[in-house]
Parts: sequence; structure tokens; C-alpha cells
Amino acid sequence: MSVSLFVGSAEEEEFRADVIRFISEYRGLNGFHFQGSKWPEVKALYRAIGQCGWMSIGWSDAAGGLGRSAVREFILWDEMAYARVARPPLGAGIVAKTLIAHGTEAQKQKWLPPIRAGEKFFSLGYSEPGAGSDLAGLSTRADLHGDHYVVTGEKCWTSYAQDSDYLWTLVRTGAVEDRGRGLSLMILDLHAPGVSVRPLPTIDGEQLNQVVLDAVEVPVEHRIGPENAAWRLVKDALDVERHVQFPPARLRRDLEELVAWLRKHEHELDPVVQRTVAALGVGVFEVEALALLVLESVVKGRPGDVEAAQNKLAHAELSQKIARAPFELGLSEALIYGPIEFLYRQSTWETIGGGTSEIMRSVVARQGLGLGGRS
Amino acid sequence: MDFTLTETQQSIVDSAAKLLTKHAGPKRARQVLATSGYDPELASALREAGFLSLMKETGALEAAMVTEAISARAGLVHFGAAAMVAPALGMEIDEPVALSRQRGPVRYGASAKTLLILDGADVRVRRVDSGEARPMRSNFGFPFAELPADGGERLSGAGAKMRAWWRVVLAVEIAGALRGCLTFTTDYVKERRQFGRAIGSFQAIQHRLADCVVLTEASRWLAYEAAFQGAPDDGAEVAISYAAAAARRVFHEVHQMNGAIGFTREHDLHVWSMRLQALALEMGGA
Amino acid sequence: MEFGWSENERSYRNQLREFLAAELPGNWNEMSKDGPGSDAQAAFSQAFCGKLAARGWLTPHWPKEYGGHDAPAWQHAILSEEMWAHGEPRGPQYMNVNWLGPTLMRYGSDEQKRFHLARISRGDVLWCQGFSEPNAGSDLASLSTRAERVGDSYAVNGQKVWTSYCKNAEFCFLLVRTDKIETRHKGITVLLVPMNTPGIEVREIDTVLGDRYFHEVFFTDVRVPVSARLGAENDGWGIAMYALQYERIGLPRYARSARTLELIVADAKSNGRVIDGAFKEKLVAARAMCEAARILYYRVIDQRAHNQPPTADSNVARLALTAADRAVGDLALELGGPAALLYGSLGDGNFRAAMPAGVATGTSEINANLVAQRWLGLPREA
Ligand SMILES: Cc1cc2nc3c(=O)[nH]c(=O)nc-3n(C[C@H](O)[C@H](O)[C@H](O)COP(=O)(O)OP(=O)(O)OC[C@H]3O[C@@H](n4cnc5c(N)ncnc54)[C@H](O)[C@@H]3O)c2cc1C
Ligand SMILES: Cc1cc2nc3c(=O)[nH]c(=O)nc-3n(C[C@H](O)[C@H](O)[C@H](O)COP(=O)(O)OP(=O)(O)OC[C@H]3O[C@@H](n4cnc5c(N)ncnc54)[C@H](O)[C@@H]3O)c2cc1C
Repeated sequence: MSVSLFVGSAEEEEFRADVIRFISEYRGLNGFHFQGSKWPEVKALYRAIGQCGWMSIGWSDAAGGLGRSAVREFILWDEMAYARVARPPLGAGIVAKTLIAHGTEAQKQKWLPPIRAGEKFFSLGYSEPGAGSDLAGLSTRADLHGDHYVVTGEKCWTSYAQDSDYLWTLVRTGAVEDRGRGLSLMILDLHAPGVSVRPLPTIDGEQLNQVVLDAVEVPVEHRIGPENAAWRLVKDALDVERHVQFPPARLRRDLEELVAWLRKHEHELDPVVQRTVAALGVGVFEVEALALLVLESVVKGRPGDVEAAQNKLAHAELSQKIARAPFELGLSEALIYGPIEFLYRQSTWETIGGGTSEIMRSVVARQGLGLGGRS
Repeated sequence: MDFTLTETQQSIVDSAAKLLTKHAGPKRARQVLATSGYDPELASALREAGFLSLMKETGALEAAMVTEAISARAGLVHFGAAAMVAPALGMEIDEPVALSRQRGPVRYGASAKTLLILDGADVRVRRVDSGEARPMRSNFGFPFAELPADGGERLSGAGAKMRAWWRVVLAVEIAGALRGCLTFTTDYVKERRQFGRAIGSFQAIQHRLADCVVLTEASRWLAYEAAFQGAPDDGAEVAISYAAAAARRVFHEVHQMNGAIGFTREHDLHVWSMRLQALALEMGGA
Repeated sequence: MEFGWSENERSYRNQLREFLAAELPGNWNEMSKDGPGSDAQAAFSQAFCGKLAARGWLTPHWPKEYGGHDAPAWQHAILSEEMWAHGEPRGPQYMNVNWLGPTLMRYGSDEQKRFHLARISRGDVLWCQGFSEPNAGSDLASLSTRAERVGDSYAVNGQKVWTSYCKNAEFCFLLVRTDKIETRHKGITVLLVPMNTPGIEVREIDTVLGDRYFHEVFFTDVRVPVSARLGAENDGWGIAMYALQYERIGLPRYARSARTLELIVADAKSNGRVIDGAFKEKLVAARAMCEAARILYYRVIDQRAHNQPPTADSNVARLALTAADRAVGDLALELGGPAALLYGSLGDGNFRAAMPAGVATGTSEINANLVAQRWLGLPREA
């Protein structure tokens, strides 16, 4: 990849070279933005990543991983993002790491090998129609009947559910008034009876999904951790995964595409265009620096809520600034279907998915600056 | 100065509202966008109601009010081109009319019978023959096409006039779409509850929506003022410059406030929001 | 609906401009650099306002019985624009005309009206506004300066702050608490207090804005006769809100900003500076913001002209006024280059005038709250 703030150790940079070599065989596959419509190819790519041992590169030896540091994971998924080939899959990250820390032996046996091999895939079933920013207000119920739960409710905005095998889902096992303390985590088979997945077409031409759960039976042994104790697990999982969630090289790539597009349409000599691009270039370095602070907190095992919120906020906003530049500059070619126009629509939700900018600002204000807060 | 509607104006606004309730609206817009993107039924209803001759018979301000109302109901017709730009140039021409800057995508290009081409200091009026338009795919709320920009009858020295009226029409259309976004989003944040309260009760939402009120209201009044004054160069430039900046800002604010559901095609927001960007860019951003 | 000026209105504006050209001294820029409250400007305003009054231009929109000419609200708007655009030669007296007069007319006793309105419309009195306190800024209803009834006068004790212009003022429009603090807005009263009453101590607070912008005012056993009370006891809140509706939309701030932009362009041209694409774009954008503020301000004037009660449109306009002032303030510095940093330069003068727009007479946040709740009907924050 082109100039970047981050330089790893000799071994780490060697690893980066390996990753780049690996990716070169997948050039042209945009699984980063079009995972849904390119699923067979993306799935094959994940399998190949699994064969390199990289799906589990950061897992412990005991869990069947390579036991490498978070830096390698960062390099791996940052390069993948730069090449736009793929995003870190939920299974190998949040799911596996939570299982390794809190799962039973049987759970690890059942799910870790196919995740590691790039064969089984998970979707995140957190959000509901009535619970977006206010996740602790979710209402999908799971009631225990002997050796299984009966789960009824509705999840929405579920990315990739149309192709996934399992839903990593948060459900209510306690009282509604208990908010976060009445939630449990479970793995739900998306092919089980009672599950229906309905596409929600989105303005990027892809889809999100509504997942309706109608008395779906989930074996008790598919609950992760104790009943009603999911809130802590959800938060812990974020702590060990946040360094790969918003890879800064994605922005570097966005900017390079913008510059190429400006050249193609012969705008690159305009002084206003040049000033704009220069400012965006500085922004890319800034976000990279914020991403490195997140990486540091993960490497050192420190709580990094504030770093993560700052990084998410800045990342999302810069992605929009880059994509909006042609519009701000008044270049009407940007209206026509194509890579730049796509970035415009895609980046619009960067400030919403994965926690909205308002919520990120609240975290920075309350935890980072020590300002008071409502709840 | 007087901001109150006269009786005539009130009756025009009322009858336009009635017509638009029947022939336009977000549901209709979604249907039309799924096909050609141009709504011939709405166009003929407007023609039959006599709105196309408003500019000559009543005035540019009244024509602007109807243009705004159409946009606020997400109508898919190029009313401003036919009812404001063409008559301002003293022309009676075949509808639908589209406007071209010689290069770049032409809004409603594929359905146009007549093309008004802005050619420096001049205007050229060109018939569009069937098969000449090449539709271009876009997500920005309107149908676009590429059209040949050669030939046509030349109106010497009419360029400045066309540019100014075109700007006013765009500013008015933006004002309508802003109003659509604002009304829709205000209703949404009143209804949507998180953390046990309407999200519209959070200051983080309230303050930005208040800014959207300023941008929407000022866009509309400036555009009306420019129309009333006969599209002076200066007033037209101010109106489109302000409206275009407002369009860019409001787009992002309302999408942010609608959360994930705002990106789905089944939520109505996009019928107003996506067109904002197209309108803001049509004259090159200003 | 129509957006034109009548022949009368146009000629009125022209006459005002001619008057200003004749009356403002050659060193006016220098003289006005410390702001409307400065000693130089306050003194100048006495003579200047007298001349305005002689022509019937100080309070033209007031009813005849109070020294006005029953002129339409639009005429007052034109007057305000021309005055503010030219650095406010009326000095602090703009407050008298904008909000004090209307408030006294509505709530004053016959005696108060006769006395105060006559002086205001002659142009020889300066007032100040005693609302804010150290612990009552945005939350004005928590003010705690007390007035205890003692016979037929009040004994006032407490402190006001941020009070503008009061070093030279003769009267203070003072908000005091006449009931328990918990009654909040239901226990507030207005007193019209002569500033030379014993027990009032004024201390100027130095600011980056200019001279006489801020003072602290201490009240120690200040005796104010009951006859100086405006309206009934504990009815002060409604009066203060009425005054604020006028004050918030008192200054057509965009007029100065728009004129600054014109001067910047003239300046650039005379220095042979090329107005390139980027420069021009910024100018157009900033000018558009001034025009937006202007049209929203006009919307409010129009409601006044039709005798409609004030609405949240005035809060909308206020937000636009502030936004325009800020945009032009920044641009004037940027385009003025290092010379704009010098005290009294075009960029500096405009910037200092623009700086407090989002705080004075109610902050932008408070205005935004009001727009959200009253214009949009959003629920109050819990
Ligand atoms: C592309 C995309 C993919 C997604 N994929 C998944 C997925 O795979 N699985 C999954 O579970 N979820 C997914 N989501 C959902 C995402 O997590 C939610 O959209 C997000 O949490 C916001 O919730 P919401 O959309 O309901 O918005 P709301 O919570 O309704 O928010 C609407 C607006 O109100 C604001 N708001 C809310 N509360 C406050 C407050 N306290 N203070 C100030 N402002 C506030 C928000 O910031 C926002 O601007 C996805 C979303 C997107 C856009
Ligand atoms: C140039 C100038 C001249 C003035 N002249 C006078 C005068 O002559 N007489 C007089 O009485 N006063 C005067 N004032 C005072 C002015 O009215 C107050 O400054 C103003 O009301 C704000 O109060 P504060 O300064 O105490 O700020 P605070 O109320 O402490 O506010 C500080 C910040 O917190 C924000 N904030 C407060 N409450 C809320 C809320 N509910 N929601 C969101 N944000 C909030 C504010 O918006 C502001 O950004 C003047 C001020 C200025 C700047």
C-alpha cells in the first residue's frame, strides 16, 4: 500500500508482503462493498484465507490459532480493505473470540474449526425495529422450555443474513425493565424452522435484511455464557475486535479513487480541487493516527472505548468528506452511476451503522471529557 | 414587501395542493422511479389545470409556488423548465422540455420533446427525435439521459436570461424538496422512540433540525424573491448558491436522523433526499 | 405576496444614505472602532440622535402621541439596516428605539410613557438592560437580585453582570426578584431605575470586543420608588419576554456584514488583487447567507407590519443572523490577510461586531431549542 504512518517490525512487514502477494490473485473482486452480490467469490476467498491460517491468526494456540498479536490482524484486514477484497468476517472475530473466552468446550469444538477454515459464516443479530441506538431496549424473547429456548421476535438491518449460516444474536431472557441485565447471547441456526429472512433493498443497490423469528427452537447449549449476562460479553467482544472494524486504508483507497476520477474528468489542475484534495489527504493521516491509538489500546489490553469512539467518528466523517468532494466541487459527472457516486451513497451510512455519530460523540463527551450525561 | 398570499395566490396554491394530493406523493414517486422516472399523467393533469400558462397570465412568483409544491410532493415532471424557463424566453414550445448545458447528464432527457441548450451567450432550441436520447443510470432521484447538443434554432443573446431563470427554477425545486425532507423527518423523530423517549426530544437532533428549518425557509423565500423580481442575475445567483449549500447540508442531516431505515427503498425519505443532490449539481453546484 | 420596495421606501433609504454621508465625520471609522458603547460613540450619538429626531427619523414607526410618525414597520427596518451597516451612529440608543420603546408603550403607566417615551424620541437619553446575573444567564428565570417592599419603595440588593453601555447610562431596565426564588419566572418584577440612585456601583469588565460592552452592577440597599415599577409586581417575566422578542430581531446584523463584503471586494480591486474562482465562490456563499438572514428578518418584520403576534420565526431569523455574521466575520479575516488583525481594520471591526452574535440577547442554543419546540413542535428534552 502507499505511504502510511504505520511501519511494523521486520517480521510484521514481511507478513504484510505475504498478504499483498496473496491479495494480488483476487484483484478486481470487491467483496468489501459487494459481499452480498459477490458471495460465491467472497466465500472462496475466505476459504483461502482460512487455508493460510489467517482466519485464526490472532487466536491462541490452544484454540487452534497462530497466537499472533493484534498488529498482524490489523495489517491483514487493513490490506484487505485497501484492496477492497473483503471485510473481517464476524465469525473469526467477535464470535470466535467470545467463544474462546466464555464458551464451553463443546461450543468451541463445534464452531471454531469451521470458522477457522472459512466454511461457516455468521450475521450480527442485535438491532431490532424498536432497538437501534438503544440496544438495551430490545425485545426479541427467548423462553426456556426444557432443553431449548423458544425465540420469537424480529431483527432488522441484519447484514449478509441472506448468505450466512448462523445468527449471533442478543435476546431477552429477563424482564424488559432489566434492560441490559436481562439479555442473553445465543447462536441461532438461520436454517432452522421458524426463521424467515426478508431482503430490505438499500440505496447502495445491495440489501440489508429483516430476520423474523417465529418460535425458533435454540438448544440451551447454544447460549453463550450465563443467562442474562450478555451485556458484559458484548462489550468485551468489542474490546478485542475494534482494531479491525474501521480499517484506515479504506479511506486511503477512497482518496486514491477520487484523485483518479478527478484526473479522468480533467479536474485535477483546478486550484480549488487541489486544495480540497490536499485537505482530505491530511485527514487520511489523522484518521490513521486515531486508528493506531485504537490498535495500541488493544495490544496493551487497555479499555479503549474513547479511542474507539473517536476513531469511528473521524473515520465515518472522513469517508463522507471524500465521497462528497465532487458534489461540493459541483462536478455533475458525479451523479452518474459509477465508483464515485457509489461511495457517496455507501458512505452516507458510515455515520449510522456500527453505532451512530451521536452515540460516539456522547461516549467522547461523557467518558473522554468527563461531562455529565443523562443516563 | 409583503409575505402574505393574495387571494389569487391562495387559490392557486390550494388548487395545486388538491391536484398534487391526487396525482403526486411519495408512493407515486416510488412507482414512477421504478419505471421511466417521468410522470406523464401528472404532466397532463398540470397542463389541463392551466398551470403551464401561469407565468404569462399571473406571474413568475405564482409559477414558482406551484413548482415548489410539485417538488415538495416529489412530483416527477420538469414543470419549471416548461412553465418558467421557456416562457421567460418568450417561447411556446412542445412539452416536455429539458435543459442542457451541452455537456453532462440531462434531467428528463429521455422524455423530452424539446431541448433548450445553453450555449454561452446564446440559447439553442432543438427538437429531440425519438431514439436520440441515451438513458444513463443514476440513483439521484430523477431520470437522466445523454442527448446530442448540436444544431437547433439559435436565440442570440438569450443565454444570460436562460441561465438566470434556470437557477431560479433549481432553487425553487430545491426549496420544495427541502420542505419534503424536513416535514417527513420531523414527523419521524416525533414518532421514533429510543431510550424511552422520542428521539426528537434529544438536543443533538433538535438543534440540527432547527438549522434545517433556517436553511429550508431561507431557500424558499430567496427563491420566491428572485422569481418575483424577474430573475435578476444577482438574485438568481444568491438563490441557487444558498439553496445548493442547504441541499448538501440537509441531505446529510436528515439521513443521519432517520438512522438505518432511511437507506431502505421502502422508507419514503429517499424520494426527496436523493433529488437534492441532483438539483444542487445541475448548474455545477452554484 | 410581493418582494418589492415602494417608491417611498426607496427614496427614504436614499435620503438616509445622503444624511449619513453628510453627518458622519471623516474620521468616523476611527471614531467608531471601539463600538457603540465607547465614550466617543455615546457622546456622538447624543448629537446625532438629536438630528435624527429633528427629521422625524429617530422613532418614525412610533405612534404620534409618543413622538413618532406612525410610519410602517418597514420604514423602521430600513432605518435599522442603514444605521447598523454604517457602524451604528446611534450608539447605545438603538436599544431605546428597538425594544425599550415598544415595551414601555405596551406596559408603561401614562406617567411613565409620557416621561420616558418623550425623552427617548428626542434622542437624549441612554439606557441599559439589567437582566443577566452571574448565576442567571441562559436560565434567566433563576435570577436572584432581590427587591423588598419597604413602604412606597423597594430596597434592591444583588448583582447584575454583562450589562452593556451602563457606564454612560441614565436608566436601567432592571429585572428583580420580588417573590421566593422557587417561584422562578412567576416572581420577577421590572423596575425602571435611575442609575444615579445611591447604592449602585458600576465596574467595567475589560473585553476583547471593544469599550463599555460589559459591566458588573452592584446594588446595595438601592431605594426605588414603587412608581418606577413597570407593570404589576411579579408580572415581569412576560414583560421581559416581550422585550426580548423585539431585541432579538432588533439589529439587522446582516446589513453590516453585507456591507463589509462590498468593502472587501472594493478593497481587493483597488489593491489590484485578482478575484479568482475560489475567492469569488466564498464571497457568493457568504453573501447568500447575508441575504438569507435578510429575508428571514423581513419575514418577522412582515408579521409586525400585519400586527401579528410574535412567533418562533424570530428565533429562526436570529439563527440565520448569527450564521451570516460568522461566515462574513471569518471571510473578512481570511481575505484581509495579516492586516485584518490590526485593531480598527475592516476585518477586525466586523469580526468584533460579529463575535457575540451567538451569545448576546439569548444564545444560539436557546434559540435552537425554541425553534425545535415552537416551530417544529418537538417534545422538550426530558
Ligand atoms: C449499513 C448498515 C448495516 C448494519 N448492519 C447491522 C447488522 O448486521 N446487525 C445489526 O444488528 N445491526 C446492523 N445495523 C444497524 C445499526 O447498528 C443501527 O442502525 C444503529 O445502531 C442505529 O440504530 P437505528 O438505525 O435504529 O437508529 P436510531 O437509534 O433510531 O437513531 C436515529 C437517530 O437518532 C439519534 N439518536 C438516538 N439516540 C440518541 C441519543 N441518546 N442522543 C442523541 N441522538 C440519538 C441517532 O444518532 C440517529 O441519528 C446496520 C446499519 C447499517 C446502516
Ligand atoms: C456582547 C454582549 C452584550 C450583553 N449585554 C447584556 C446586557 O446589556 N444586559 C444583560 O442583562 N445581559 C447582557 N448580555 C448577557 C447575555 O444575555 C448572556 O450572555 C446570555 O444570555 C448567555 O448567558 P451566559 O453568558 O451566562 O451563558 P450561559 O447561560 O452560562 O451559557 C453558556 C453556554 O451553555 C449553553 N447553554 C445554556 N443553557 C443551555 C440549554 N438549556 N441547552 C443548551 N445549551 C445551553 C449556552 O447556549 C452557551 O453556549 C450580553 C452578552 C454579550 C455577549
